[in-house]
Amino acid sequence: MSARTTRTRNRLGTLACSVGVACMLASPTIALAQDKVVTGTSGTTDVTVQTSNENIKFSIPTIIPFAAAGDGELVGPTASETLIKNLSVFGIHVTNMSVEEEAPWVLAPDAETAGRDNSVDFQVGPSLNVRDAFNASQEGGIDLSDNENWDMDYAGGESDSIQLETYGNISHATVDLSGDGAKIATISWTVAPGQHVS
Amino acid sequence: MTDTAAATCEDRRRKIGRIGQIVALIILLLCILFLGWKVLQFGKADEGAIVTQYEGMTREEIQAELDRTVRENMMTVSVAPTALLDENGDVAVNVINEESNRFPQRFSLIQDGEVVYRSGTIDPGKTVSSCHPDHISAGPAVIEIQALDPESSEDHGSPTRVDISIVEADES
Repeated sequence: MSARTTRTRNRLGTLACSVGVACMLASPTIALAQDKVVTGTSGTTDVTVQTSNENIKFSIPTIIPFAAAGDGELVGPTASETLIKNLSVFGIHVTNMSVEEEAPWVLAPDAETAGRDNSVDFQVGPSLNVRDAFNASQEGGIDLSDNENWDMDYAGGESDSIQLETYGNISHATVDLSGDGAKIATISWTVAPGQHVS
Repeated sequence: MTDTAAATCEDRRRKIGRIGQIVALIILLLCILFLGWKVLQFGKADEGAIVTQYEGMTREEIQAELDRTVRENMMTVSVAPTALLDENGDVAVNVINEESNRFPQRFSLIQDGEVVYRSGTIDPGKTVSSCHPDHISAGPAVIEIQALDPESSEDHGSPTRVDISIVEADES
């Protein structure tokens, strides 16, 4: 879908929500209009729009599991299962991704060349904007507020979810990965109402 | 053996017996404490991004297992994007832990990088309509939602943050 089409649909979705609210507000403003001077059969009606305070609502994975292959490759879950899905009546977007490594794991730009024990690199994000965990671990995380790839339409809209691609590598692992596995990092997402800020 | 000697022996035997009982009790207590400590240590880790080695499984089986883990650890977040601040200092956050959620939740209200309020446990199906932070002002804020392990109430998985606006009630 083109960016223009997406923005158009987003505007239509927002407009549909706003029109619904405007209709609810029309009755009292018509009464006000009647207090004004009205001649003949025509008059004026103020139409106002107010943001609905419906909850922002979405579903999100709390755990992203990886499987480590013998060669250090990390296999992540299927993108179509790893969704951030908007359940709100308005569009939302992810504004920030931040990652905090879990000792003894060390986040690196490239685990294979890092040269340290328990080095890990992994990437997460929609296919058109996969982000690196090492960059997200820097102060402030990664600002995504101006990136349209992290927008989600209102619930039921054509693009009401983001599928997260996940992959990476580990090297020089000294941690026992059997059983329940090992926690390597915490990923914190920040979500806001509305679409990206151009 | 004279009566006095016999009595002394008897006393000595009782003393030894008593000491033995005390030692046995101490050992038993230490064992109980040790077992209790081990049980507490055996909690589930608060997983976020985790790595596991799967041996003896095909790629498809591993993929299915990873997908299942994601599905079973999804969480729905529901909060008011605009929270009204009334004259009493109460903030209408309307945090809802959807009934379909598997996990209890806890939320923190954060402004200017400072946690101004932290909730208790919110079970699935419950709502916190408002809270009373230590201090807060109109403007941008963040609500951070943390899933909790249903049994241990420890943090489960990664937290999620939502950008919200605090608006004074008489301005809304």
